[in-house]
Amino acid sequence: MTHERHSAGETLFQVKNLNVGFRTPHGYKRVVRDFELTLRRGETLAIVGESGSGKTVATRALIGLAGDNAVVAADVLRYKDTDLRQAGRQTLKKLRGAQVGYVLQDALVSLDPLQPIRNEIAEPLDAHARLSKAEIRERTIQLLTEVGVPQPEIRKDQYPGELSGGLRQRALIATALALHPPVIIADEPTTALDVVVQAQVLGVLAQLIARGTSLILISHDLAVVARLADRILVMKSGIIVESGTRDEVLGNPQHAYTKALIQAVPSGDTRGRRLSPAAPARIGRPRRHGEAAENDSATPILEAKHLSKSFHGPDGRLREAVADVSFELFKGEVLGIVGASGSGKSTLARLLLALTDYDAGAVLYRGLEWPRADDRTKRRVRGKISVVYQDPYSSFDPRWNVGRILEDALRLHAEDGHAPQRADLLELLEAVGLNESHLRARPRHLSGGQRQRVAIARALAVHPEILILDEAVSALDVSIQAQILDLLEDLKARYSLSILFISHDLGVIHHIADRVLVMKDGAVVEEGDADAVFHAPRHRYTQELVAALPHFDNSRGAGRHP
Amino acid sequence: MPALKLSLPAGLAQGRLGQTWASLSRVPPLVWLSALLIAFTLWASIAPATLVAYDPLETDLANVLMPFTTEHWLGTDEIGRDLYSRLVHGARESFLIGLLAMLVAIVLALPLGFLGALAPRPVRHGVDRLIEILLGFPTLLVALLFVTLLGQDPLNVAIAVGIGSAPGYARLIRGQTLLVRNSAYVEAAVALGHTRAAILFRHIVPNAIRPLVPITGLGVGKAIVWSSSLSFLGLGVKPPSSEWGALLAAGKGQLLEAPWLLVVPGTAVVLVALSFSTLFHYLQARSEGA
Amino acid sequence: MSARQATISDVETSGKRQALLGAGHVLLGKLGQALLTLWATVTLLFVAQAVLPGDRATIYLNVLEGYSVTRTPEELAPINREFGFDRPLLVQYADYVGGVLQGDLGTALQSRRPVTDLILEQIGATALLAVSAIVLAWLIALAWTLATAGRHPALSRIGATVEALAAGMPHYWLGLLLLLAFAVHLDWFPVVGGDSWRGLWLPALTLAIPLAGFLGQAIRGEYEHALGQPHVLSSRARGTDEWRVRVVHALRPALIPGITLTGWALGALVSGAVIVENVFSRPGIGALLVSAVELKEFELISGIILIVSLVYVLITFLTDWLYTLVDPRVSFERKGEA
Repeated sequence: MTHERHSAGETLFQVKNLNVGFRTPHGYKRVVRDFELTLRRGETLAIVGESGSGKTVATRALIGLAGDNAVVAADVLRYKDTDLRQAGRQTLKKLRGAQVGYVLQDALVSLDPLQPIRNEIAEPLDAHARLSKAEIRERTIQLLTEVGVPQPEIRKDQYPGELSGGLRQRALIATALALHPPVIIADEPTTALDVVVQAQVLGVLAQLIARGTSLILISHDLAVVARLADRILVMKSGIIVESGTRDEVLGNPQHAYTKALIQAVPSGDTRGRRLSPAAPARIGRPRRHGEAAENDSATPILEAKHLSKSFHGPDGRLREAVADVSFELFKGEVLGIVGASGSGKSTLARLLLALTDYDAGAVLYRGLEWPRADDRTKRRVRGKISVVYQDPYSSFDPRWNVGRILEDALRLHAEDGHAPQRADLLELLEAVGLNESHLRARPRHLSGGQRQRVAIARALAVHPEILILDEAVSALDVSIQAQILDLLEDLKARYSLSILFISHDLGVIHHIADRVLVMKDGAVVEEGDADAVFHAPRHRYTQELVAALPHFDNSRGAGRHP
Repeated sequence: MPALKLSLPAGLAQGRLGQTWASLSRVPPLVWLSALLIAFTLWASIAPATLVAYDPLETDLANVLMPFTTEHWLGTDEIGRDLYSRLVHGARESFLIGLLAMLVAIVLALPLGFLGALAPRPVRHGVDRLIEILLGFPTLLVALLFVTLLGQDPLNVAIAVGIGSAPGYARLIRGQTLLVRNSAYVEAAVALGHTRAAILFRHIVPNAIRPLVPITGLGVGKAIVWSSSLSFLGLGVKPPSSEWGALLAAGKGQLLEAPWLLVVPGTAVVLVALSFSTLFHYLQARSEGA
Repeated sequence: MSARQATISDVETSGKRQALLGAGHVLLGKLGQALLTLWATVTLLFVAQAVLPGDRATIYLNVLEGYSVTRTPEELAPINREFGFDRPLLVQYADYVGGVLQGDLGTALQSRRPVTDLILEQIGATALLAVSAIVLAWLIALAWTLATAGRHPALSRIGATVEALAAGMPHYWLGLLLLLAFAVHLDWFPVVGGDSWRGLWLPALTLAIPLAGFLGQAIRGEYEHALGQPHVLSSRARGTDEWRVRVVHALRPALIPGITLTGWALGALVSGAVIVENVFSRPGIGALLVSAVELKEFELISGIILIVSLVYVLITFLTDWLYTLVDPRVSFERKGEA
């Protein structure tokens, strides 16, 4: 230990004026400019930024893996005493794995699906140390134990596809840890993990830090960063816009972008507050109202009664995806449905939309069991219940431009059969924060946020009463997510919508929902007012979820998990 | 609807033209070459006499079995007929056989492919199995069977090759249709409340047949190869014709004395087939990518 | 905590056992499908023979006597009786199916020998040719992919172009060029192949090159896709040797479509073999088939097609099974909900 402390402060990585660009068929494209970084032993450095900010490319350039067509230039690019600018293949190979471990996000694709995990763990051992088969076996088991994988003797022979998300991510970390490198680079190590699993992986990383490993943590999740980092770099469009200690950056941000990023994190504390700096969309009153006139907040407009649905698994076994789910959605409210992946949330959405038939129970729209009604009635009700998915792009016909997509939906439920006017289209575009210039655009030329806006516009075009949002903001960067969440609040008020908001993200749900259902293994385990569920959870599972949530308090500034 | 139809501002129209030009100039040279070769073949099929100096049937007994000379660019056959001239005159027949075979294949494959993807479950499964079974029959063998049944004339050769290659296209169309049927945008249309017919004709059919143009183009080249293969075996179009396969069949006896009689028409088939595949592969990639 | 994990692992191991049972079930289903396919093939071929335009007895007499005329019923009656053409179709069908089950594919009209015997005499040579071609094609495709794919963009493009050229090459043309260059011009191989080992090289190569191009296209696509996958980056970041990254993590997944395609390619291989045998004057199914077509010997043609599709069904069954060996995912795929 004294040795560790003695060497603390030794500089491991030093980078000055790192520029990375790519040669593409369309010319040279610079992705990182004037990047600077100093990593000392035992320190955790977080790089925060949204997709396309260059944070991944910059860190990959450190170990010579920026890509075949990458052009890397720097004034200083050094690991300890080694100048990496001129480093040859062999030098870099010795660096990778032995000195620097690299953990990518999503172990499902970051581990070779055709190899048992023991082979992946043995790989760095083979590459850097001469060990016998027995020694490798022993080390493999030891490493898996170290990252908290139970029954390592059995696990080591399994394939990534056979492991649960958490075990898989831990196995991936074990492959990077194999030679106990002084530096670990972790690129979004908890993204796409469910909150409980995320907490476990954060625990493993925290242990590493405690043992004196230096960590470069790349994340878009400020809550994760707040929990682990000593220092933070904030990147935007390839440039570092702000850097400093954790408390400086999160507690007293200087750059407008950092401030906006901190503001954009949804949570219980942000309820009723705008997340994005953008002004509310200029929304006039809606041109028409449809059946919304018969407003009655006492009766539910959408109701699920003891819904159940089972599927045959690939092994032929029957698996209950939705088990006896009941709830009511009232006029004008936002009902959040939260649960881990595989909890049956999306299947539930499909049942409510009559896209999948249920085995038992009923779905009622204003008291009518519409999925079992005749085709005409069904089509009429479909106009009252709209849906927005996680991936809007695939939900657009690739041949159509935005104008055609919206016109098609507008025409569909125009009650008097009148053809949609240009003004209707423009009104719709404006309502979701787009404009005339987007009419002729094809979805593939739009950004993720714009696509989601088009999807929302299409959902609104049929004048729905109910909007079902199935992980609709999950794939978006946090600032875009903030804009869409704000937009949804605006639209809800303007079109008097009732919203069913499905998400795995507890912060998003707590921010937007009035009432919450918590789902686990197809069943609803808890239901109640959002604040009640999140502040005083009754069910064990909900308690576990809430406890696992890394808390990020952006009402005052920085916050750390107690 | 008229309210939506805007005339393009002049500047934008120019921009479009400029764009078209820019995208044309990015076309790889190999694709240009292929297009040129296909254009030449088409020209030869329409007006062969404008491209040659000799009548394809004119015999020149002074120049029998001549290899490449300035007088006869591609040599002469055993009775002194000019090979280049025969080749150009044979283009129409070869080309038409290829086109017709492909049409037959698509006409047979379309209903199979659509049924295999869209019909109610029992029909769908039956059609699926049928396609799989037909795929087990090698193209050439089926073509041979039908040539035997129908007789050896150019039309029948085209039909036989079309039948032989239909199962492959049926599978392709079925796959594409399934992809579209299960796509998120079709589901989105259902959720919006469109009728089944509207979804079928506005989304499924147009998107399912979208790749058919490049596929047909690719297939014409392949069909020309198949029909010339039949002829090469002596089981396709018969020699007095100057269809390329028939030229091959006629030249087979002189492999050792006059190899060009086989190599030249064979090369013509290869070049045209490659041109079709290069050009339409490129078009296919373009329609998917950009 | 540990108790909970133990239960999770129990669930997962029992899940795996179930999946294995499931795999057996799937295999049995495939066997059923294969049998169904064969039955349908037999039926289709019978229908083709029974409804073919032209009376079978007339064709027989024409083939036998070497000229085509209209036959009188008196002439046809004994032939119909001999071959049973005058019986009800259903009886003929039952007879045909029964015959097939016993390995009797009918009698060749001209030689009056059993079709089965004729095919068995020739099938060995064709099988040898096809198997050598497959082996050669795999060797060529693997070497070519490893040498050119996923390297410098220009090299990759050249590699892909050569593959496309090879895949599109007509067998007769390639065969002719190889024959002219290596047998006639260089005199390394005999011009008439016969069934000697030395004579096998050129025909096998002729058959293998387009197949290698076809396989190479599929392998290259998967291989380059795999090289761009995060798990390959992960492996490189561990300091793994480049060749190991390529062979273990990129080439292996790329083999899967190659295996499937080899099964599919069998049809193309048989078609090609017919032509190659013709070019190189090799004995085999091809030569038999060409003479059968010339003589309009439907029973012989049908017999050949039946045997070929039998082999096709067997190979497809085999590749499905091979697939499960290469890809462990097949047995536990898609656990999550849709």
